[in-house]
Amino acid sequence: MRSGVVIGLEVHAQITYLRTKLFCRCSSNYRDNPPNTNVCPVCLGLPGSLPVLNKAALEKAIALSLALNCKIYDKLLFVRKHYFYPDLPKNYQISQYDRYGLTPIAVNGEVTIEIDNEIRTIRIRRVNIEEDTGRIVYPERSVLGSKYSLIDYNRAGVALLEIVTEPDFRSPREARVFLEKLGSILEHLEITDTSLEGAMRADANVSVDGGSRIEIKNIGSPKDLEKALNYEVARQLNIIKSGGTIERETRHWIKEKGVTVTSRVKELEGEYRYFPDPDLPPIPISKDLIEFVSKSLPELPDSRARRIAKEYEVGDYVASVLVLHKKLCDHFEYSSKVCGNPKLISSLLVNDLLRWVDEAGIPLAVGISRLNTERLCKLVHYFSNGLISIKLLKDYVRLAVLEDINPEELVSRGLTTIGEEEEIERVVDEVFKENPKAVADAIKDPKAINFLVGQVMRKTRGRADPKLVNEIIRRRLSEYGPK
Amino acid sequence: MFSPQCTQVSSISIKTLRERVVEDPDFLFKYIDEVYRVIERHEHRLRAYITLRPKSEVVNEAERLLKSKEIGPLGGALVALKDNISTKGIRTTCGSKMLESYVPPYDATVVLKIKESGGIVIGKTNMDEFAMGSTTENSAFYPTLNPWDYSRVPGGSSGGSAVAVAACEATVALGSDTGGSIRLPAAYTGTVGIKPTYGLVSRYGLVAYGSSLDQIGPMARYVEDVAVVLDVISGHDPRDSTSLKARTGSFRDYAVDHLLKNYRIVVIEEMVGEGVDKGIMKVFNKILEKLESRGLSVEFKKMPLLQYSLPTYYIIAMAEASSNLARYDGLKYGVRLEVEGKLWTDVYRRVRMLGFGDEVKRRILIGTYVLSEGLYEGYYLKAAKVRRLLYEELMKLFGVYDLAISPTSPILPPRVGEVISDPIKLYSLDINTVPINLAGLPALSVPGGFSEGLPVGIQVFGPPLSEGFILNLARVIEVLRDA
Amino acid sequence: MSRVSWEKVIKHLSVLALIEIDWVRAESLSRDLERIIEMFNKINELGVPDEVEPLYTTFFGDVNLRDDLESESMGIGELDPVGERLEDRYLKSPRTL
Repeated sequence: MRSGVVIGLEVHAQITYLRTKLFCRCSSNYRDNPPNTNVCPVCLGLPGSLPVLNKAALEKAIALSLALNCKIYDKLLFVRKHYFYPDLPKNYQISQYDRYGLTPIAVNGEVTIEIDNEIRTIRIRRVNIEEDTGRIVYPERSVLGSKYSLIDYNRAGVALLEIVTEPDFRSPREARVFLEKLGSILEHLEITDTSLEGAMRADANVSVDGGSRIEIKNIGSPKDLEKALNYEVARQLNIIKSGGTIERETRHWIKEKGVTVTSRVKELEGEYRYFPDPDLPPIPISKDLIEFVSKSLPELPDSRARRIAKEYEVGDYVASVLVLHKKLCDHFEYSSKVCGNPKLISSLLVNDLLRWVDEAGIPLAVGISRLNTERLCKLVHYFSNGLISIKLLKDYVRLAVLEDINPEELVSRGLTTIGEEEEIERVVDEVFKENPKAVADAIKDPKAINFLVGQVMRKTRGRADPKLVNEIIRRRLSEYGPK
Repeated sequence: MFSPQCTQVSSISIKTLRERVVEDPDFLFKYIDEVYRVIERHEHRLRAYITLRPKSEVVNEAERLLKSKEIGPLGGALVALKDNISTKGIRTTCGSKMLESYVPPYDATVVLKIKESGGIVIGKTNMDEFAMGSTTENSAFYPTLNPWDYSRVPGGSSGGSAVAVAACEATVALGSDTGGSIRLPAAYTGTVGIKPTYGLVSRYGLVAYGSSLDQIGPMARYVEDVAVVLDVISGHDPRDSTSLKARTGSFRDYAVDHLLKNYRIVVIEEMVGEGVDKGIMKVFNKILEKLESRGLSVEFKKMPLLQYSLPTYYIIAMAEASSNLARYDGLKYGVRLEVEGKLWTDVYRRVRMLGFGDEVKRRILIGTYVLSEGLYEGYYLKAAKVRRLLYEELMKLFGVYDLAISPTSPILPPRVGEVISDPIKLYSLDINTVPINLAGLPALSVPGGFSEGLPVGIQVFGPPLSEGFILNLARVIEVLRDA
Repeated sequence: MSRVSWEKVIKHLSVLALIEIDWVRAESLSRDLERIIEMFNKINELGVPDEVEPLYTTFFGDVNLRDDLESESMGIGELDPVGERLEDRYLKSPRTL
């Protein structure tokens, strides 16, 4: 952790688990539709249209506020936030504010994260409900080359929850860990499916050594967040080192290039002319409603991790990784109940599945469907029968996730453990004959047998049980003895 | 009451029309013929309409209505709609160049209700641009003239609707009232118009000007007709968050010619002060006398707070207007300019310069001013607090009295051009009407007599949901006036 | 406020409200705005105690809330049947960068 690095986050999470938009009855599932077909007078902001609040959105917002340990106000107030932009149909956004007696839905919460065995508390400044904008696309390939823009309003009006933290992060890594945890909370509350494109977006405020705050907009994932922040901190340090000063500004994260650039959009900060939306009078949030939501809260990540560690005896670390991805965790619990051997399954999921989907850039959901419960059960079965060794087991998982190959298929191809000593001895003898110098080396220095082991594994295409191979080679060598 | 352009047949009430159509369905066509004859003769001077439906279309609709099972409470009445009420497939201009070619893809809720109740939309009427004005001289197209004196204004902003009704170019009309825009033209044209309790009539489809002040209301030649139409258009609308829940009972039952109660009536002294024209006071006092002779008590009360109602109203109305009119940028509808190669701010600035008239521009700029950083507290927030004080004063008053009565306007209909050049002079026309919108109370204007050959309007208002009593007193005034 | 500073205010407002102002008319506009704001300033004569809560709406009923149920959407083509504002169903807009 560098001294003097101060980071705050503003996260926008779509409430993807709603069927309709925030203020109208258009479907909230806009991703599958052709442009501008999922619209109506309200979300287009046609003259005379009026907003009506989706009750379920209020309940989800309350659920999130409870999960973040916030204080929830007894009235829901909406404001109009004015700025002109083509993706904003009414040229104002219906949102919330926290001055002049106006309040967001909830304030003063906290989330704990674990970094290097230290528990850190991140304070939540506020939670807002607001509507999403349309999307801008560019007709030419290059954003800068386009003479005009194209707007799709399908997304306009979709419900958003804005979560703003205090600037409590002291490193990019902390910010990433927080965002991962927030994503997990949103998944467990069935508010946001974070695997959907654009469902969770973050803006970050960074300052270094007490300098001005730089805002970085448009970051799409925890990984990108850490990358962007690392880049930005380095950039700022460089400027300071060469004697320059940091001017307050807004920048954009360009994922493809791995850099932040100055934003071209002119920001008229502070001139949003917030005032209460006269079309939406204050909505009471009763204690009964809060209690109702509270009672129906699903299991949250922290308690789930504790339960899983205990119930399945997989250890705190593994449990904490599992709960970071709700779908993975669900898969784990279900598969463990069906196939047994939760320790093994958790290891395969945490150490292997996650690694392969990450390296190959495959969506987690796809990885899970390729390593489905049926296949996991088979793998557990093969391993416990000794049909495959631990090494082959990992190969099986890799091939299933990367190439969608069924374990049964691999067995029929003969990719099983050779456990019979006779066969291995035969191969060992072959290898000894072909590599007399290596044998001589190994007799002198027992540690050098690795080369010979490797040769045997190569010849058996990995199928030999490495333990047994080791044993047999040592035996043979001791039989030969120093000449 | 109706003006000299009328003929006997074209001047009938809904009641009469319905009775005659039930007796003899062909009468509806005779009636339509007669109304179009009046239009043919006088509309080129009066210019009450922006869009008039061709007679053939209206006749076709009449045929369909007669064939259907029920002619409804409106019985084929020809309804003129102020041009800020969305009509599907019929252009809705709001009296502005900005929306000169805008054809809404949906009907306002009140339009659906009119159609379901046997009303036939005959056309869209002229108005001050975006309802901003009190004389209909701010229409971007042409002014409407007062049928009683062509050198004078008919009032505004619902001038076209008032004239269509007064001159028998329609059976009834709908207008909208934000600070007096139904009541003032009703007073100037000798017709009846009511602004309902805020929330009684749905605003869905009404192009917004001052959202916390706007209401749609009926205008007619007779109090009973206003009651009939109010029954049709009022009621809960799930598309409007500010729509009151359903109420039982019919307003029509209240519009009877005898007093249903011994109303305790109050006159607020600030509304009958020195600034009121002597001729108007004469008519007003005569009505008071007649009411007293019927046994009603009329008391006078001071309310000094009223002197702040004009600035309070205009601060709030202009602030809300600047927000509601932000959406007009020419992208999806409205004035269209070439977009290729231009920055959005440049296009928007030009569109809004070309599309908006002077008064609208003034109000948007001022509205922007009072909402801006640093000024919000001193203007908008302060005005909202004064609004609270005014509201509480008025509600206290109606804790003691049943109804209040005043002249609708302090002056007789001005001549064309007389007030339009001076914004402050223009705004002062509303002095007796704006306090009512600030408090969301119901208020009606009924003709009380003539002065110098020009109609004089009497304003009757009361606590929320007192439309019944208001209509009753208005009907009694109607009877007493003609006696 | 002097005439000159009103013109500055108008310039700023014309940027905030995105309305191009005809500078020939800026002077009469200045005058109008000045008089109107003067009329507004009348409310400053009235002392309002801090505890008075602002009134933003005169709707005192139960605010309508809505169930999370879908209904049919429309296509933007209904606003523009000729299609002169659209390209492949997207709405054409000026440059945004």
